Amino acid sequence: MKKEIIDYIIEAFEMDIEGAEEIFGEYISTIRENAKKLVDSLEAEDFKTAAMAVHTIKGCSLNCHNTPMSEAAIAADAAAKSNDFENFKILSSKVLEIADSLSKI
Amino acid sequence: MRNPIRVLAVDDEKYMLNILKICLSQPNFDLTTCSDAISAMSLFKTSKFDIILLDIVMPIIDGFELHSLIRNINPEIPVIMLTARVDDVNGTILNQISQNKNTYYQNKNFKKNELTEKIVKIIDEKNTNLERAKYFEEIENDTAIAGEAQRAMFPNWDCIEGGVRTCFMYRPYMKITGDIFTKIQLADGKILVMIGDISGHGIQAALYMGVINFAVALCVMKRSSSIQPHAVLNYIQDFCANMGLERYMTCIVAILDFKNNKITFQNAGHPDFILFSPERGGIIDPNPNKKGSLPVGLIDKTVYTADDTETIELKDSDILFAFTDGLTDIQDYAGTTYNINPVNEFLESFSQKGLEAPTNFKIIDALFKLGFSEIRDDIALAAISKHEPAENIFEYSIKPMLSEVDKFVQQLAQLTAKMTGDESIAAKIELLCSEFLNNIVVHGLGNKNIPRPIISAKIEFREDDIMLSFYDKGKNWNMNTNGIEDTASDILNYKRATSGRGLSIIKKITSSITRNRYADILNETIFTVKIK
Repeated sequence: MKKEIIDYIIEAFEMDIEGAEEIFGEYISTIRENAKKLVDSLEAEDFKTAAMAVHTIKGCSLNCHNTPMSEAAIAADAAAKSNDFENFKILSSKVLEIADSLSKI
Repeated sequence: MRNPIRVLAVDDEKYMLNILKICLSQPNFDLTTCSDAISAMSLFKTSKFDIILLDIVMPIIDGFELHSLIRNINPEIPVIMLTARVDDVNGTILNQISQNKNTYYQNKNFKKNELTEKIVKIIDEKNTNLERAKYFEEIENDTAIAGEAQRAMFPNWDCIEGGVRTCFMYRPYMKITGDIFTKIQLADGKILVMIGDISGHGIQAALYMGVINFAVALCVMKRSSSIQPHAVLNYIQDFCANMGLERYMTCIVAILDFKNNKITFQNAGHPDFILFSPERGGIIDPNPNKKGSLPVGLIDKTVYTADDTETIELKDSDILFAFTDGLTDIQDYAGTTYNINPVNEFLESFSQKGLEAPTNFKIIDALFKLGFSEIRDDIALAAISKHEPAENIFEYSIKPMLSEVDKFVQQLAQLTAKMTGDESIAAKIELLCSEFLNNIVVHGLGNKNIPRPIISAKIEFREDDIMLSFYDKGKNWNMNTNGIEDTASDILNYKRATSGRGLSIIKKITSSITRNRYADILNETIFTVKIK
C-alpha cells in the first residue's frame, strides 16, 4: 500500500521520491492523530469530534489516493451526517482497522 | 511575465496545507497559508490576495461562514471551496457555491496540475472580464458623448425661422440614433427638409447619418435655390456610392414653400408625411397618387427623377408631421405594436390648437402613458407649420448661456413695457425671467462642455394677465401645480441659486405656476402674472 500511495504522490504532485516519502510520513501522522481522536471521542460518545476526525481522514486519504481508507471514511462520514451513530460506530471500526495497519508501515 | 498570483489558503489540516504548498511552490504563485478562519480574516483584511482556497469543514467557523464574511468585504474575489464531500449526491454544497458567480468548487482528490490550471484559468477569466467590462464602459461613455455631439447635427428642437416653425424630437433606440432630420433655409426663402432612417441602428447608423447630413449640406451649397428633391436624392446616392457605403436609407426630401403654400417632395421608401389640415377637416392624404421611389443606396445606380416627385397645396393652418417608423414600432409590455391610425388620432387631438413647442413630446408622452413605452427602433418625429402668431403672442428660442438669457430678459422687459404701458410690470417680468432662466442654465441643463438644447419661450399678453410658457430639456423638476410653497425650494434649486432670491421673487410675482414634463425629456413651466 505504501508503494502505491508514494507512486501516486510522485505522479499527482510531480515530486521526487524523497519528497513523496516526506508527504507520506505526514499522511501517516495525520491518520494516527485522527485515529486516536476518533477512538477517544467514540469512548466519550462525542460524535461531533468523532465525525470531524473521520472527515479529516477522508480528505487526506482522497488526496493521496488511499482508496480503501477513503472508501471506509466516506461510508462512516455518511453515517455521521445521517445521525446514524450506531452504524457510524460500526463503520468507524473499519476506518480504525485500516489506520492501525497503516501505522504499522 | 505576469505577476505571481497571490493565493490565501485556509485549511485546518496540516497535511492539506502542505499539499497546497507543494502544488503552488512555483514562481507563478505567491502562497500564504493559515489554519483557521480568524487568522484568515485578519490576513484578508491586511494583505492583498487574488484568490482564496477555502476548506469547508473546519472547527469553530467553517468554510461557508468564512466565505460569507469574505463576501461581505469583497464580493468579487474568486474563492475556491475545497471539500472532501464526494458524497454530495444531493448537490447541497454545489448549490450553496453556485449562488455566487465568483465562488468555485474543488474536490480534495486533485492533482497538482489540475489545481494550478484551475487557479490560472479563474484568474485569467476574471482579468478578461475586468478588461471587457472596462472596454464596454469606455464604449458606453464614448457612445453617450457621441450621442450628445450628434444632437448638434439636428436642428434646434424648437425652431422658428423664416415664418416656419419646426418642432423636432428623437429618441434613440440606444444612446445614438441612425435617424436623420435636416432643415436648411434656401436662398429663395424656401426650406429644404429631409427626414430619413438609415438601415440598422447604433453607432454605424449614426456615423452614416453624419455622412448623409454632410452630403445634403454639400448638395445645397452647390445647387442653391434651384434645388429639387430628386436632385438631392441623386446626389446622396452618388456620394454614398463613391464612398463605398453599403447601407441604405429611406427618406423624404421636401422643399417647403410657405409663401406660396406648396410642398414639393419625393418619398424614397419612407413612411409618408401625415398632413393635418384643420381647414380641410383633419388628416388628409399628402400623397394621393402614391408617388415615390426606392430607398437611397438600396440598388446601385438608381436614378431619381422629377416624375416621382409630388407637389401639393397647403393651407395656412396645416401641420406636416414627418416621422420614422420607430414611432409605429413602439410596443407595449405584451409586445403589441402601435400602428399609424391611433397615432393619427393622437396627432389630431394634439394639433387642434395649432402647433406648439411640446406637441411632439406630448404625443410620445401620451403613447408612453398608454403603456406603449417599449422602443424597438430609433424614433424621430418632426412637426412643421407656418408660423403666424397672433399680435399678442411672442415666441423665442433662447440659447442656453447666461449672456443670452440677459439679452432675452432685457428684450422681454422692453416688450412688456410697450405692450402694457406699465414699467413696474416690465420690471417684475424681468426679475421673474432672470431668476428662472438663470436657474435652468446654471443648474438644470447640466454639462457645459456638450451642446445644450435651447430653451423655448412663449409670452402671451392677455387682458388681465401675462402668460409666460417656458420649455427646457433640463433635469426633471417634478413639481406639482400647487406645490410651490412646500416643494419649490429644492426643486427650483433655491438653496443653490446664484442670487438666492429666486423662490421668493417667483412666488411674489406670479399668480400661478404650472409644471409638466413630457416623455421624460421636456419640462414645461407656465407662469401667470396679473396685470390688473
